[in-house]
Amino acid sequence: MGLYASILTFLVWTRRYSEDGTAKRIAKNILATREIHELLDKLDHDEGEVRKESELAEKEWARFAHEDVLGVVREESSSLKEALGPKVEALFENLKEARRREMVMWLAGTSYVEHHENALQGLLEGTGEWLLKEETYRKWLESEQSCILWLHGIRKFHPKFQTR
Amino acid sequence: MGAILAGAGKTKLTSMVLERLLNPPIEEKRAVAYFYCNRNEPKRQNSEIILRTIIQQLSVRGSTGSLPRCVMAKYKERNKDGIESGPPGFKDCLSLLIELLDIRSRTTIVIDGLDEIDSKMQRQDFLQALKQIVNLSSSLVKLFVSSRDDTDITLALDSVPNLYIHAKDNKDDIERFIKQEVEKSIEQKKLLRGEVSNELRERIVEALIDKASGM
Repeated sequence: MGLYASILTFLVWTRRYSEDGTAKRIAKNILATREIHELLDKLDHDEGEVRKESELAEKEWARFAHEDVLGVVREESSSLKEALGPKVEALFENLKEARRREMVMWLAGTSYVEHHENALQGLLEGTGEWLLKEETYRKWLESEQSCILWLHGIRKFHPKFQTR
Repeated sequence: MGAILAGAGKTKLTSMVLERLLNPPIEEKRAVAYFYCNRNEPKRQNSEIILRTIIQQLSVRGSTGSLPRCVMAKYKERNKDGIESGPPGFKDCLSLLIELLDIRSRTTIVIDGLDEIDSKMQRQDFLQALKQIVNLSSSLVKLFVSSRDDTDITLALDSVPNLYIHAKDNKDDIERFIKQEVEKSIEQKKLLRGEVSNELRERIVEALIDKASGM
């Protein structure tokens, strides 16, 4: 805006100058030179201001544009995440599960659950109650030290019982 | 019948104890792993497989996602550069198991029928491993093992607390078991095609109890 006004002022002034008579023009000459210089200076200055402003504006615009793009990217990525997230997670879980299975396979143990179930079959209510009441068993169960309890026996004429 | 009962007695008692341990009256933070040895199945008489199965139970239970770090580390160590190694050997299993036990504050391991482990050498290694587990674990480990009174086992477990199954201890159990089995055999017509009079049934039961009481 400042630049526009300066240009107009300069134009008005030059028109007026050219309309004036020659004598007047000469008389004015000395003064005019200074005035022109001032005007041109102002013009220069204003131009500089404009350049600065425009540069700023450009930067500002770039920033806005950048933010805009970022926003879009962000939006896109979040919707992408929403869409892909569960799939990626499932894939990750599958991978973990596969790895787990691989390691369990490597350990190569054998089945055990059914052996307990088989052993329990036909177990009559009350069987072995005596064992649970044994002091040795209770001591083993309640001990705060690591220990072994050995259940043995059932061999003809081979009684063996020892305390700690 | 006598031989079956001899095996069944220990195993039944062990399964009863294990069932109690698996279902404690109050919520206990105690992991339980177990194994039933069996001389009729190759996989159930191998000391290495027993340890590996125990490790497997302790690794998979309680953690839904990945396996414990020490198991993964051992796996990586053994399967370097993508070269597949076989399953961990006995020594590896023992150190891995001790590491695994230290993750938890308390663990109970039940092993039935040590005498059914094949070869004296494997049995000896296994018995020493049990002692090492108890001695080297920094957390609380309770081992419940059962076996016949074979000499090598008796020597190895001589100094540990033990419960000897006296005939009088499980007399009631044996009677219950015999009566039940005889009933079943008659019902299923396995015994004399099911044509057994009450008197004969009594005499069979009595004879069996009499023979069993000396075990």
